Amino acid sequence: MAFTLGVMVPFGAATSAPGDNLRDRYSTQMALLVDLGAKLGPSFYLGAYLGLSLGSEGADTRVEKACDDDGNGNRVGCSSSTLRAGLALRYSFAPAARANPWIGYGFGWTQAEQSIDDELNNRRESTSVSGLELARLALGVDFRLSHAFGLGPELVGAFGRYSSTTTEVDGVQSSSHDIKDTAIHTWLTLGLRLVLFP
Amino acid sequence: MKRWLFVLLLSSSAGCLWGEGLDYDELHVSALRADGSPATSVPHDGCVTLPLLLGSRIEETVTIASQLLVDVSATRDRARVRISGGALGSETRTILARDLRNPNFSDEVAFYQDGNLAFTLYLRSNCPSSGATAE
Repeated sequence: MAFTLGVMVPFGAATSAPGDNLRDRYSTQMALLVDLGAKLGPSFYLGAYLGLSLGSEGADTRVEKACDDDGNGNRVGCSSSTLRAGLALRYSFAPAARANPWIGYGFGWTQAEQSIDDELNNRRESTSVSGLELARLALGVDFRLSHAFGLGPELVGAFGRYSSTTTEVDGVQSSSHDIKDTAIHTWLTLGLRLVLFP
Repeated sequence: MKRWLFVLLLSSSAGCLWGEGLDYDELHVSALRADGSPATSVPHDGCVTLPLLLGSRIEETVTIASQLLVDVSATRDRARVRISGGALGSETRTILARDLRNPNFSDEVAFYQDGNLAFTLYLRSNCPSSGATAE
């Protein structure tokens, strides 16, 4: 079992529509990831991962302007979040050593949501996209602190494609459809990983 | 006099404290019958508010006098409007959000039945009751 706390940065495009960059929809996010699995031998590990990340609005000028209160106390709340779950395989190069470098591959499902809450007009709009995380490529080093604990840095590049989207206004679904102009996006995570029984 | 000054100061401070809210692009769908009387538009009196977020899409159907169906599919950049009325025929329009920021924007479509004018449908910026302002 392992817990990772990190910073997740968006790259690439949410869809292939002009100007639909991932960073325009979502800010850099704080990420928490939980791994749960078992060793398949001294070097191989297979498990499931579950992650939640939280952030604010992206770099889109119009939304940023709406969300920025400029010290005027506008009552507009903006947020973004992502969820992910899947399976991961990991290979350890030196499983018995104090410093154990490793690489990993995973795949699964992912969802990202952005929302804007306009208190004065009593209007809340949110849009989520979901799809497959096609390749979750990871590398890191576990430093064995004791028999029970290991700690080390982790770098993850998660490559995915959003294939469906839903918009809700005031909690009511306004549209839900498949994305025709899909694109590959990347979430890059740099984190610190705490491993139980490394 | 002092009381009025106090009220003025308080109301201007409240504007700073609570902000002005966000401006939305709106499409108002309405229609007049051949005799010039207004036809009912439901829901929301024919008012469709365009979304703000990148990637959002809103789909709404406005019904005019139970005879015309106006399907609006809107992103924050444009609204695609499909008007269908059975024997009255159908029309499609694409309206850019930036055009809706012009308070005088108006487009109209005439629908005929048996050669006679049945409805004139209007697509306008800003909904009368919302008091929304163009961005």
